[in-house]
Amino acid sequence: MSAAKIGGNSSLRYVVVLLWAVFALFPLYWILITAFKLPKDIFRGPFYLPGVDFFPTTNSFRYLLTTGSGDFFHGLGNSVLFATTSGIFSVLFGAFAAYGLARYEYRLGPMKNDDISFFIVSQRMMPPIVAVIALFVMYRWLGLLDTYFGMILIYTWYNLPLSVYLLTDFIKRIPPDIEYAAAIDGYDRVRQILFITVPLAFPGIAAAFFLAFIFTWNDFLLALMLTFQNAKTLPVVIAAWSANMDPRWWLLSAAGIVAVIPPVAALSLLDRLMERRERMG
Amino acid sequence: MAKIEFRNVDKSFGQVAALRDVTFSCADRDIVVVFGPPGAGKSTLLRVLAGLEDIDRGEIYLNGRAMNDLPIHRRNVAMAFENYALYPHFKVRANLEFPLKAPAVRMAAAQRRTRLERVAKLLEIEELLDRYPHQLSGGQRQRISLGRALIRDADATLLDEPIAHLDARLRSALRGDLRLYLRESGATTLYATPDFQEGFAIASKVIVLIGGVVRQISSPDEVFSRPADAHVAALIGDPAMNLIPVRADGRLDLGEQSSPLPVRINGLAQVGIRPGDIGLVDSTRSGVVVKGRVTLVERVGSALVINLDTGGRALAAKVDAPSMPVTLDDIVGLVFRWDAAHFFGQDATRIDIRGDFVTTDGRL
Repeated sequence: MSAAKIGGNSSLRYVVVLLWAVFALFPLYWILITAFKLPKDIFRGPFYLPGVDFFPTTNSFRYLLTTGSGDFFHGLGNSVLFATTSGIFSVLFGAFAAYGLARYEYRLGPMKNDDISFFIVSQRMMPPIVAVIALFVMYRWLGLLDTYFGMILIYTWYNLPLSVYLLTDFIKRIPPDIEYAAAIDGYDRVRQILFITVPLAFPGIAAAFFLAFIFTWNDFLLALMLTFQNAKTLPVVIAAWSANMDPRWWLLSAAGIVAVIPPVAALSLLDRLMERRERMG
Repeated sequence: MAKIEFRNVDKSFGQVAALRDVTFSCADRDIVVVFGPPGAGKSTLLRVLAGLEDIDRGEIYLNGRAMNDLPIHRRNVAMAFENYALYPHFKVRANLEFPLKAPAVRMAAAQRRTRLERVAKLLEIEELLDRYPHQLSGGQRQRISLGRALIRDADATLLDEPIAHLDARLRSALRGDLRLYLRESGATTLYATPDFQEGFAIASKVIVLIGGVVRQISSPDEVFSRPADAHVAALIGDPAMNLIPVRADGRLDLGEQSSPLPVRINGLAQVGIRPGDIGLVDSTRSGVVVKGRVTLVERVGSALVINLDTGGRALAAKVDAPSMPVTLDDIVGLVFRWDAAHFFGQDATRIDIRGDFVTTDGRL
């Protein structure tokens, strides 16, 4: 099916695309200009064009770097730390599980490999809010509330199923004969995996890592329930700024812009890796 | 001491028996061709020696070492896979050098280079060394896969249809060169192929495998001139040997016609005559017993292959230079060279006979 057939004539197609673009991009634009507004411009508003109906200022960013910097950088640092470490752990443990599921046959009671895979993925099917009260009670009992270890643990748990699922698929697509060839060439199992399997599964490993990173980065609920001060993440910090009687939109927007950068960077990197994989066939 | 030895090896996949009681041995530097039709278990035979499949029963020895419980990487075999199995993330050069860099080998760089050059020259892949496998054609990939097996010193070199996907020129050129290369490098080789011409050109010894059973082990000449049974005979020759049943009255069953046999053999069930051992003569000539209608004339190289119908039975004849013009639907007389015929009993095994034969019309 060609694009022309869907869109009818091409000018209509451009109109549709333009409408969609406005719909998708306007919130980003609004956040961007709000971050450069003074409170009076926000509450007297709505103003749309910087330099025309309001004068842009960097006051909000200055606040983030000075008065609010303690909370802001604490949350930002925690978010980066949790997203990165839970990404690494979920990929590392996920890869072990995935290699086993892809290369060996298991029986766990009545369950075979596919059932075990499904069981693992099913952990991720319920919304986290279902588990969060129970988790809170568990964490309180274990003394893990508001700890770095507790948060890294919970995010690894949260990301592991998807990582196992994704990596199993990637490893299955590597023909076993390529590993056999390495065995015949005189390489033991560990070296086969290091020299052959891991490099070939690398796009999958990267994809699993970035997805885990993005999920952790965007999580609000778990961090809200399981942290108070020490281990709180950027979304919780930002939310706190609007929880009071006066929502400080300019600050929310400025922090929001910073918070958007890592996932966007991760996604574009992921996109490029996938492209490379397609080229390699 | 035998270099490679199989003792009563069984291997099945579920209900399907791939190898049944396979027993053979071969000496150092032998080039053993494992020959058989597709699905005969040739690949399985190679794969169990390499350790890619476990055997159900029996023993395998390589260089006197029992292989049964030895992991793949410690067996010291080289193998060219039927599906190539190249490392897609390495360039061709790295693919070829990979076995030379293995922990147990760790060959010096200068020596690796010499090896690489030699193999690259043999396989005509000098210009491909800096490419990735996905940039190569199927035939080029096959040569890299073959090169990776040839480059190292292994106790056994296992080649699974290693030149099947090459173009005709390269294939026939490689047959000779490959044999020479294997001789010079002193490799003991198991070479699986369903192509008897390719296999017999390269072999010092042939194992005929049909349905997972070893039917014959002997020299290529012997397999050709004295096939152990009718099944083996049917696989060898281009076109295949004519296998003609014998009637209860001892005459050759040619459908509507029949022909007397020059000998009487108890328990004779089939007579095999190669297409090249059937002569065509004028059907009106005196003494002609069997006549056939020409159903197909095909030029194969310098010879003509002529398919004939003797009234319900199809035969193939191959003549270098026909003594008379042959066209479609002609009726021609057939002369069998009995001294080149093969005789098979009720269980399809070969019956050896001695003595002199005459042709049905008294001459050749």
